[in-house]
Amino acid sequence: MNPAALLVGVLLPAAVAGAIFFAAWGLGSKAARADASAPAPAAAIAIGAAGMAGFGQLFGWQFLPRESWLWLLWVFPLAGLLGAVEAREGIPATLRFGLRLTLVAGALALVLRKVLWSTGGELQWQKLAIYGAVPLLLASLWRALLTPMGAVVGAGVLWLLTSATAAMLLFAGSLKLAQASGVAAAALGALAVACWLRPSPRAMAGAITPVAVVLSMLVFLGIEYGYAEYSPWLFALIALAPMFGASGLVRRHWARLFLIAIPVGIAVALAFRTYDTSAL
Amino acid sequence: MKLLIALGAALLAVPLALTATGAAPVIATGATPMLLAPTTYNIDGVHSSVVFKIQHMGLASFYGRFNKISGTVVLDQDQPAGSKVELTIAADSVDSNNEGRNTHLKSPDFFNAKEFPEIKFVSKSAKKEGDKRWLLDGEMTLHGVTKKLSLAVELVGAKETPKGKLAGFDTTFTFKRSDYGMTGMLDVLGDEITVMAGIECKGQ
Repeated sequence: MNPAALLVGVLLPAAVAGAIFFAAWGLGSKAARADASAPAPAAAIAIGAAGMAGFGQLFGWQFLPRESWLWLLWVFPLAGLLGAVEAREGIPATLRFGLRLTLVAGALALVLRKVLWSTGGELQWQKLAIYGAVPLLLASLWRALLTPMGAVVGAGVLWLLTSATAAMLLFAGSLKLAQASGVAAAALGALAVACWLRPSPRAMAGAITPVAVVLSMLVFLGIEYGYAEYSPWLFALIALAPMFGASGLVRRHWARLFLIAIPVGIAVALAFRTYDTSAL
Repeated sequence: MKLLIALGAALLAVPLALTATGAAPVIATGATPMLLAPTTYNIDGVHSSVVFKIQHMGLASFYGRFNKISGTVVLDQDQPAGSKVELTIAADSVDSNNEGRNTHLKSPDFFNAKEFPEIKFVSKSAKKEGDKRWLLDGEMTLHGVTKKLSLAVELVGAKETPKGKLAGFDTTFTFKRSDYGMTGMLDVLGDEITVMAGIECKGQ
């Protein structure tokens, strides 16, 4: 992919997400910026719309693609829509869980159905359980850990996790999956800027479930369809890194971000060790 | 005289005996004795080669190969339309002489070999265009996309050997990988792929 096309593929989702935040969070108005309670569904919608725009720009608008990973085009808007409903205030916990479950089931059906159903038509229950549980657990864990860290640091952590996953996928020999992760990272960059202008932790948290689902699907696709011997434990190290920032030892949010960056950096460095650059 | 008759009868008995045991009659056409009856062959993956050529950065031609080739060939010299080729290549056997690059080639960036494990050519019609030249019209399936493809094939030889009935073919053809949805790194690696195949097969 030539650098200009790659740049457009990154700038477009950032611009789409930025425009949605600008409009939905009233970032042009000083009064709106002073109000910390920004509308929560906007973050999910921005990730969904920006992800779809960037993905379509990079890989083409194939609405009924042949290849499983290209169905990510539909995972982004699905995550955006269901994530937006889930992020609304006053939603009962059971409905919130039901929406997450529906989102995860939909994403799995879109990108991993060929893996979950064997050629004989048998459902692979073990894989379904693991691949279904991981995004659900991450969404709950990240929501519990990142919301107390504040909007800017929370958005920064999401950006860090997504960028690190992109690097890990790249080093694992899946350039396209890495680019798809980069699209999500670009949208999260816009979220970080929007959160800096209007720091609402609840509104930032609207992005968590869509990001947890999209990143999980990218990693599962890498495991199932890639050939590189990269360990899923590296993604576990990245995904669980926010726990390092939850330590009571550090009170400043920025210091927490630094603590989270350490395991993330280790995971990326370990992934890089397996990267064979001789054939580039 | 009796001796001559006996010799003649013995000579006649050889092809008759061969026919009775199922072997095809052989006639000499120049240096290569050709088998005339329709014969079904299995492609010998050990003695066959499929090599591809692609341009790297517009600088040089790069050559790679596939290591797992299989299939069947039905060769009917008398009624060429009855001839048929089915060739299967394992996509994950791509070999570019670099393990890291092989991993990348097999990934969804290129062949997506786990989702599309086979590269296949199936002939739909066959025409003989000379002593050894054949034209096969068929379909190639690559990366999950099936498209029509015409191959000019040279029958290098077909004969009885101590290892049984053997036949060999050469073909070279070119296609655009983007036609098959393989659009990875088009700015670095050329779109046009030239395939050179030397196929040896053994009679069933």
